[in-house]
Amino acid sequence: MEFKQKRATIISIGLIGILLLASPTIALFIKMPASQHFSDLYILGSNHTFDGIPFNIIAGQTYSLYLGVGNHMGSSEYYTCVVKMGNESASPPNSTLKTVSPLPALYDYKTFVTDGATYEAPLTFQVDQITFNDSMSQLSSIAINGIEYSTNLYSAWNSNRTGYYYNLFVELSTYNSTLSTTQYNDRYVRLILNMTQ
Amino acid sequence: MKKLILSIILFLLVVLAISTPFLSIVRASDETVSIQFANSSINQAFANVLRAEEAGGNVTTLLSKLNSAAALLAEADNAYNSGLLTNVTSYADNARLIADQVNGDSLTLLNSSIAESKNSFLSTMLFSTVAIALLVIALLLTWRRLKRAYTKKLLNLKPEIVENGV
Repeated sequence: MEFKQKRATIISIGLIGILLLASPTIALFIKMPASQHFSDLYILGSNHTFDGIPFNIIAGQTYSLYLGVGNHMGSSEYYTCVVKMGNESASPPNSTLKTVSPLPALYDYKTFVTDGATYEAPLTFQVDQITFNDSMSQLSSIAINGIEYSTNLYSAWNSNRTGYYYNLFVELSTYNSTLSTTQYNDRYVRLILNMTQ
Repeated sequence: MKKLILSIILFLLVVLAISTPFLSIVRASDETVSIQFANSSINQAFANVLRAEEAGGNVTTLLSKLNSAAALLAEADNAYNSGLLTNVTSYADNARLIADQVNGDSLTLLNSSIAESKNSFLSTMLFSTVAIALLVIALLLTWRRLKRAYTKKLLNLKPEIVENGV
C-alpha cells in the first residue's frame, strides 16, 4: 500500500470513529422530528366489533357497548369522555370552533392513558321512560352504566326516516397541563337512536 | 300556654319548610366544592407526573394510582349529575386524598429523575470525550509508527547507479 493511501485510511478511520463515539452525545442534543400526534375515540359493539351497535331502541332493554380511547400524543394524557343525550335536532360539538355540544353532561369517564396505550370501558344504556303521543315522543329518563338520569327531551315523528330519533354523543377532552385547563379534543362519536314503541 | 307552644311549633315548621330548598342548595354547593377540590388536586398531580415523565422517570405506578382517583372523581361527577348526592362528597374526598399522595410522590420522582438524567448526560459526555481522546491517541501513535517505518524504508533504500554509456 502506498504511503498516501495509508494516510487516507487512518484519517478515514479517525473521522468515522469520532462520529460513532460522539453519536450518543449528539443524540442528546438532536431531537428527531415528531410523528403526527393525535388521540382516537371509538365505540364498539358488545363483541368488541362494529357489529351489534344498536339503532332501534326498545324501552326497558339494556344495550351494551364499549367505549375506547387511544393515545398517540407522545406522552401520557388525562382524558375525559362525556356522554350526552339529545333529540334529533340537538347540536353536535362544533369542529370549527372546537367547542363541545351545549347539551348537559350526563355520564363521564376519566382516565389516564400512557403514550401508545388504549383505554376501553363498558358503556351500557337503557331507556327507562319514553312516551309517544300525537307524533311526538318524550324521553324522560335514561340509565347509563346503571345510573338513572332524568332527561326532558322531545322528538317529533320524522316522516322521511320513519322514526323518533335521538342522539347519544360521547365527547373527548384532554387536560392541557401548560394552560391548566381541560380542552375539547375535537373528537366525538354520535349514536343515532330510533326509539320504537 | 298550649297556644304559645303550638304557635312556636308551627313557626318552626314554616321556617323549616322555607329553608329546605336553601339547605339543599347549600348542600349541593358543598358537593360542587368537593368535586372542584378533587379535580384541582388531580390536575395538579398529573401536571407533576407529566414533568417527571418528561424528565425520564417511570410513572406507571403513579398513573395507576391517579387512575383510581380519576375513577372516584368520575363516580362523584356521575352521582352529582344524576341527583344522587349521598356519596358525592366521600367519592370526591377520597379522590383528592389519592391525588395529593400522588402529587407528593411525583415531586420526589421528578427530583430523582432530574438527578438521574443529569448523571446520565454527564456520563454520556464523559464516555464520548474519553473514547474520542483514546481513538485520537491510538491513531497518532499508529501514524507515527507508520511514518517512522516509511522513513526507515526510504533511508534503507540503496541508490541505484546508473551507468552512462560514455
